[in-house]
Amino acid sequence: MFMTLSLVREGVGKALGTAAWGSRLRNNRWPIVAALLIVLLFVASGLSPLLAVLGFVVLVIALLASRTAAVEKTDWSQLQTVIDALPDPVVALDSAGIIVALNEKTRTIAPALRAQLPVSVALSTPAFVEAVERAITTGKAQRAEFSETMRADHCYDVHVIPVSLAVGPRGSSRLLLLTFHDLTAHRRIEQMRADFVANASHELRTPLTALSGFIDTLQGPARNDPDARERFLGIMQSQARRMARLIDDLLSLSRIELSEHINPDTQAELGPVIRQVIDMLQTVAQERGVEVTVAAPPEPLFVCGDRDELIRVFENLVENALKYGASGKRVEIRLETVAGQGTGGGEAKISVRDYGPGIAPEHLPRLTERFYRVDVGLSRAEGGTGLGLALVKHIVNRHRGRLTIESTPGEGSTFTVNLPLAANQNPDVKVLQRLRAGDTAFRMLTLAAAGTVLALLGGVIFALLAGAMPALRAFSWGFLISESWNPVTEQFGALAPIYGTLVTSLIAMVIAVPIGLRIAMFLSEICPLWLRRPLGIIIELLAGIPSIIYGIWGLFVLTPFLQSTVQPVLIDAFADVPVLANLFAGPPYGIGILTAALILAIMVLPLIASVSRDVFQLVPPMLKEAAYGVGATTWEVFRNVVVPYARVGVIGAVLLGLGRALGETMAVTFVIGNAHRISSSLFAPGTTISATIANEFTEAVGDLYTSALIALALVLFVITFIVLAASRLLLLRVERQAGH
Amino acid sequence: MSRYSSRRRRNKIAIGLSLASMLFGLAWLALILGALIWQGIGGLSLSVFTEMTPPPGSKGGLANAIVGSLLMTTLAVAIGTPLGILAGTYLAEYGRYGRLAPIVRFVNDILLSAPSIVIGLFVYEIVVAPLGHFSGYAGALALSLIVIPIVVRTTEDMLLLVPKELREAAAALGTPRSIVIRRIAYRAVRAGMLTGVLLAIARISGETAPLLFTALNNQFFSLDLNQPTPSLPVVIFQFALSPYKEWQQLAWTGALIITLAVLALSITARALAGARKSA
Amino acid sequence: MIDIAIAAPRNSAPEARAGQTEKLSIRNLRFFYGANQALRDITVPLYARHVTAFIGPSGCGKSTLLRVLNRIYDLYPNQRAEGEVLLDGKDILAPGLDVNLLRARIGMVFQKPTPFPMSIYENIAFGIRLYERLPRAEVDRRVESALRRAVLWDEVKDKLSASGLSLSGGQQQRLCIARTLAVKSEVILLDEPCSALDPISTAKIEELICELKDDYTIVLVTHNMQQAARVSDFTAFMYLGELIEFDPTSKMFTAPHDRRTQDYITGRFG
Repeated sequence: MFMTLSLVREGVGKALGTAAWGSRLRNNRWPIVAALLIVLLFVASGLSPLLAVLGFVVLVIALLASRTAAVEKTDWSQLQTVIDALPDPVVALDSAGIIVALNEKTRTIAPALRAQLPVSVALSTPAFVEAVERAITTGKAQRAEFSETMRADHCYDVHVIPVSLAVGPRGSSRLLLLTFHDLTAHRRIEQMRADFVANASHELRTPLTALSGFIDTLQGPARNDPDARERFLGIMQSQARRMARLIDDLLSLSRIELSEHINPDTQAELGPVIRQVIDMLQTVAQERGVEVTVAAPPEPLFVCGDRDELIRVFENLVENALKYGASGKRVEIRLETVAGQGTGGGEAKISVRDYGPGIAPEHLPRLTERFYRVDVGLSRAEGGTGLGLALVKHIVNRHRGRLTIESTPGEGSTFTVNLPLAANQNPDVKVLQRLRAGDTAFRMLTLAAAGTVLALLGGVIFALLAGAMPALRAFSWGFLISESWNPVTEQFGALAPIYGTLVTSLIAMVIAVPIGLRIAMFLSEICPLWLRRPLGIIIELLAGIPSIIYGIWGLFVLTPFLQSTVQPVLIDAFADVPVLANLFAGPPYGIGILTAALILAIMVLPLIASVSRDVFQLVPPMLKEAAYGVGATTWEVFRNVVVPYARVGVIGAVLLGLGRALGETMAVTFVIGNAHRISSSLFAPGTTISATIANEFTEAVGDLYTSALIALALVLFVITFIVLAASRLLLLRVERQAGH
Repeated sequence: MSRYSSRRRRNKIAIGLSLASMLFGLAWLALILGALIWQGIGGLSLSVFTEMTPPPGSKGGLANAIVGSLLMTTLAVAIGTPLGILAGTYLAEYGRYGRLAPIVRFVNDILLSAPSIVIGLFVYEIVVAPLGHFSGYAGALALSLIVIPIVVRTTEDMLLLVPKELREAAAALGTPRSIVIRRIAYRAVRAGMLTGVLLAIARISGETAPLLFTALNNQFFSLDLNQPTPSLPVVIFQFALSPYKEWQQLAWTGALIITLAVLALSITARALAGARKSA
Repeated sequence: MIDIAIAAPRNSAPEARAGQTEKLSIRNLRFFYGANQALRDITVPLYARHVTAFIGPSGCGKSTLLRVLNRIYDLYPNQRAEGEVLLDGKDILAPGLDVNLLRARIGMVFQKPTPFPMSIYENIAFGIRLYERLPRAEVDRRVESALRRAVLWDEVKDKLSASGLSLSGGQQQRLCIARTLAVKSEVILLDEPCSALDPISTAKIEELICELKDDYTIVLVTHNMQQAARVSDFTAFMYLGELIEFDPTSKMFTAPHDRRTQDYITGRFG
């Protein structure tokens, strides 16, 4: 059954003439089946069978015809991919001249080209059209030349190549591939070569003839004439130089022409260009007594262009004005912006005006021709090559500008160059402003932050003063020396807390400093190198343990130990010794001044050790090696070299520890006992400033009580400030010594 | 000869003393840590992290205190770090050769070592007293005032280490000053600045005094920082000084937690600093 | 039939001609570190698209001079310059000048290679993104072209995201050069660029300088006279803060006209 169907299909396809129909039929089988069913219905309903079959066939053909475009479209996608990848412009046409695929590069040649349009809509020069037709008819590749209508100097070598592409499983279609090969540069070079040879041979011949003539004369008649020799040699030299200049100019001209069709991609500012030209020609102007003035707008003028070439342009123009217009004694250069023609953007207009003899009108159109000179004799005398204005013209062309020459005989000449202004005058300006604003903002922020730090200190002092005012006013200096502390009668005196603070800190320092310094000595001198870092870290970790830990440990571990073991022993031991008995009098509370001092000592120890170690390590090793070298022991080096050298730093470290001890709150509060009295025994409870504040502030009732506590804080702050400031200044001196 | 041998003897004594001092210091560390672990570990259990601080005489946990500490610490770091970095940048960059910088540096060092209880009182005067109530915000503010000088110091030290050639290379490209600092200098000292922040966090984790008069304390769990907020150090302070056994146990456990956290932060900070040095 | 090659004339005889433009003109430049005068009345032209080398014993001021050209001394408070330095006719020592823009036009490569603490790609993209907001593809293109120009692309194209610090010394220096090329400088200042490098890297960088001089104005400070002789078109000899002699390189090394130049070149001092 199916075999028959496919045979039928093939037959239909063949009958219709092209194999492509076969695939089309297969792709559309469902509509065909549907139509068949409808027909059967008709037949069943009694209509004429013949009409039904006819209707079916018409239906099928209509359906298939409507699918034509869809089928055809999909087959070109692969071709499109290949064409897109090619570097040259390529267009693919079908045998009817309709474009089926084209790549992006064709946009530069003919933007109007698009798929499904006939190619003649944009490319219609006779030679080209003929080539296409011939390719279609003969089936052989053709070649033609094609020049753009917009830019006549661009020409392309077009190859028209017929190919046969498989489009479907059974079909193939005939395509024409058009490739465009840019001949512009090639042509240009050829043209220039011809021109150059023609020009150069002519222009060089003249001085060469003169040279040859003089050489003959010197070899012959004037051989023994020294005066003539001098004169002729001078003339020959100037001719030779003239030829050299000529060749240089020709080469410059050729180079410019070669790149004339390439747009410049850099920007140049006109003001400095003109200024540089004037600088270069200053001596010439002075020699001829000509005054050069420049009138320019205040804002910078930017054009798209090459700076060196622009300098060349204006150098030539101004030099001409100086040479040929010297009689006017004045050369004016004017820069201004004017509205642009056509393309919309503005233009910069630069005019060079001289007040010399001027140029007769018949010469004006030909001035920019190569080697064209108004007055040959004058030009030669001035050393001109006749190429200056040609150079100017080509450079201006390259910059997409215009050169205009106006002149009135007797009044002078004006040479004007119009150049398109650069698209974004100065893209950096806006970005610049934004960046500058950001820069300033950041700087202000950091300054504000630094100011805040300053303000903090000021704020603290001020707040403390303000809060302490009532108490200070009430008690005045008596505050510092009164021992009474009675919230009920509102009698407050700071003596007990101050005493406690000072005594605990002092005892702590007495214990901690020697031990800390020896630890530092160990770490910096004695400790084996591999152990140094870990031990140093351990010491620093010790310094980092929060003070409350010391406090709680002190309360629950040290205090019972002292109470049960140490204090009773000491009390008994010194019971009969005169002074010390009072110092170590009982009862053994466990807590008390000494306990607090011990805790403080343990707290401050690592701090002193690590800061001192840092200070010791700043001692130059050379110094120590020198001492070791004479046979000193470790201790002697330490004592006699390191410590004196680092003396200032050590004092700084000690003061730092003292400051920390004075201000310590939590470690002390747990174990000091909070008794507002001064007793002679070290075992007695007492209080420090910070402990008092910590314990009593939240329960303080009454303004005077609160104020008294704040006054205490002020006293503490003053004491620690003095100690810390001294420490800081000393440590600063050490750092400066070490060469920071 | 005897002169020499007496020198040697003195040397040996000195070395022995310094070794003894080292051991002395280490011994205390061992004692403290030992006691901490011994006492604290007994109470360490999940309930410590999940239950609230209990009323006296009953069991409970430290959850609200831990959360309160975390909140205030985070806020303090958030406030203090940018300010500290900016001020440190000023000292190391814009103000390096100026006259203001040495004064700011000096003041910063004073604040660095100032008694933290004074800072607490200061914040009390300017925030708590006018507003009439204690709050977690005030506590965070007090903590941030401790963070700032630490970060300023670290930032300045780090930025001063940036080699001048790196700065010049960036400036030679036409980079504006602020971008040289932000995108080059900061990047070069990232690890060091992080170390500074970690050290600051370690420091304020254990600070009690500044919180006493600012955040006060709170028995209950609250995320509202406008209220008195509990914190681990203050809770330890309160519980340790109390006569209740359960509270004291919680105080030890809390102390252990804080110490472990501080040690972990310090070690991380030093590891970062070490990595930077070897890079 | 004369077949003439039409190409740009090569600099076979670099005598100063009216056509050769001065990219930078240094006039009566004096420089002070605090009260100490380091440069005395230097006047020297730096020609566009040529390499000018500064040689002299250490301390003669050649690096100081270089650092005036992009005003990098501005970063330090005690250093000041007097006189005129004209870039394309405009005085760059003028107070109102935007220094950052100037430094984008005049790039500098230092003695010690200084890659930024970022990936190789970011090192180059950093300068590009400073002044222009470009789509990623365009930045990619500029990065690649800068790296190609600095003859580094082939060595790093597979590891653009690796840190700039992971490269060898010579590669890092070429990275710094690529960084300068990416911001489209017109002038490149090189302060003893090879003194921290091994001979092979040095040779590569000298090759690079010779290639770059077609498009850039290059000023090179070097204590290596052979390098100056190999690479530069013009050479300036400085001594104790003064400009002793300025010549085309060929003349300087064959027939210097100052006694001191001769002594230095023959190795009698320095």
